[in-house]
Amino acid sequence: MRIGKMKLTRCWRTVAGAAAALSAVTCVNAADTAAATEQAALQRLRETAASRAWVWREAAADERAVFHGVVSYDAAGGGAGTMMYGPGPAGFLVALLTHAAINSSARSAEAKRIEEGADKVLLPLKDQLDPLRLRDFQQTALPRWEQGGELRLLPRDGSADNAWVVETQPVFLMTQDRRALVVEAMVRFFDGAAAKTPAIERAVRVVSPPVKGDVDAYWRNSAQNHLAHTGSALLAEALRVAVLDTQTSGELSPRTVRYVEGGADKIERAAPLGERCERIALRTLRGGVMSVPARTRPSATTDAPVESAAAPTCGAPWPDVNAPVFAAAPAPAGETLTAGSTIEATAAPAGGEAVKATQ
Amino acid sequence: MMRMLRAWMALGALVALVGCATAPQTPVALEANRLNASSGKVGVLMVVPTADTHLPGAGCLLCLAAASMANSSLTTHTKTLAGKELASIQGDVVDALRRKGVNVVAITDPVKIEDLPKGTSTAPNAARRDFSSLKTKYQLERLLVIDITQQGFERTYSSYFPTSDPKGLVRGTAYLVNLTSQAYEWYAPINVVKATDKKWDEPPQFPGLTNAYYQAVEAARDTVVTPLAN
Repeated sequence: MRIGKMKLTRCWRTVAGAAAALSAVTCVNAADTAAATEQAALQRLRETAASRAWVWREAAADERAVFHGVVSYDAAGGGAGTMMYGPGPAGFLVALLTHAAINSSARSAEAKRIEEGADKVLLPLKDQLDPLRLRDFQQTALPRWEQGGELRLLPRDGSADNAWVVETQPVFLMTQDRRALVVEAMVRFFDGAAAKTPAIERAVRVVSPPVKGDVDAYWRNSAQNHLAHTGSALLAEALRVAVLDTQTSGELSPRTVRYVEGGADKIERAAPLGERCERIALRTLRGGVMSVPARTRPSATTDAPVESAAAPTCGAPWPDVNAPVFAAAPAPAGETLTAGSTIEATAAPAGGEAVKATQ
Repeated sequence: MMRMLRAWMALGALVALVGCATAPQTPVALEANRLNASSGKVGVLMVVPTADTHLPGAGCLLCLAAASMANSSLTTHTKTLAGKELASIQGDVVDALRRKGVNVVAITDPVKIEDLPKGTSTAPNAARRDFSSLKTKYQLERLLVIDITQQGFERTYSSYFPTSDPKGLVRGTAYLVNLTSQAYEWYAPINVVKATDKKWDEPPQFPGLTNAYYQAVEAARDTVVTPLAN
């Protein structure tokens, strides 16, 4: 009887082991297949980027631009502590389960509280944000397309044979000091309008140059419509760096890069894709793409400028553009607004607001 | 008689509990122009432990075993962090001091601070360790120590259950000791904890947490180098 049980246990173990091994092999194979498929798509895109048309799938007419506050989880989490369980095995089990439930609930509640707290930064701008529509952002961003040829919007029921179709799902984030707007977008490339699944997709994060001066006045200036124009410029830059990443082949070495996000210094471990106009494009450790205002290490003397994988000058042919990405934002006559520069909000004589670029 | 005995026992317990406790060293700001060409020879020593996953709050043996098992893939990844970036803070400090005209030397020999004799002075801001051996060996006037005690990742626990997601961690102290007076002329705690921006559980490479670790390293660098460079 005992021998029979042992044999049965061994048998189950063998079956479980085989199943686990099969599962692991299947996972590895699936990952390898996905990587190979993406490599083939990247190769196809690189070869045909200049010769094929590009279209951008249009957002619904009433689709609002989604805004949230930038969240930091650095201070999240309860402190360390110990708990006494019991008495007895049953008491231990009940106390353990109760503790697990309370702990899980507390952590969820804390995450929700942090996210809701972060969104409060938008309250003073609520009436400015409500009318913003994603399709308007797309239309304003179209002229900033740098790939070559014309980028046009593809209606939701439209067709575009043999074109590379781009789809974006952006979420806009306001920093807690309201000095910068950030876009986090999933950029997807479809090989033809009929394709159901994206050939390539990249998670992209773009940070606008920091605003100086009275930030609320800057964002609330309805005449200049800074929110809409910055949102549009961010979206255009997201497209640019997503395409730049697909055009950059080979393994890149990550390094620690400093950048500015509003009034805060930020750090990212990432591989530089290119630098221009005081902005740096990065491939993150997750394989995502970032475009951020560059900054050098403040304290060290040995900090060399970030090496550029692409041409470091502005105005060069693709991947550099004729006009910097943020230059298209409307600036008062006689003043220019340059990528990577600081946006300064100053009082305008006509009761409006002047914008000037400081390098 | 009984009351007297109880009072003496209570007093004894109090002395036993409090007598051994050492008041924590409070931060000491670095005076302007403390370090310049006339400061004498300054040695810069940095101690960096290997990266590890720290699980405070998993107090009992069984809790620790469960927490260690739950975070084993992260611990495996932690061991792959080379620590070169963190160790490069020593070079940045040497550069910053040299730029101010200080006669500075980087101490690269391995030194275990806890193996050095304890400092004998009880004066306020007196160094806890006696660095005379280093003074003699390197002919130093002052010693700048960057003592990293924990680096890697930290996840707080309440017995069996995590109360936070893992975060990048660099913890320790940086201080400048006048080797003549054995007093701290600068004392700065380093306590940097950085969370991931999004999800953390991405084995085997843990890119979000790895990024958070390097953010912690850079923030620690700023804590140490910025006051010395100014």
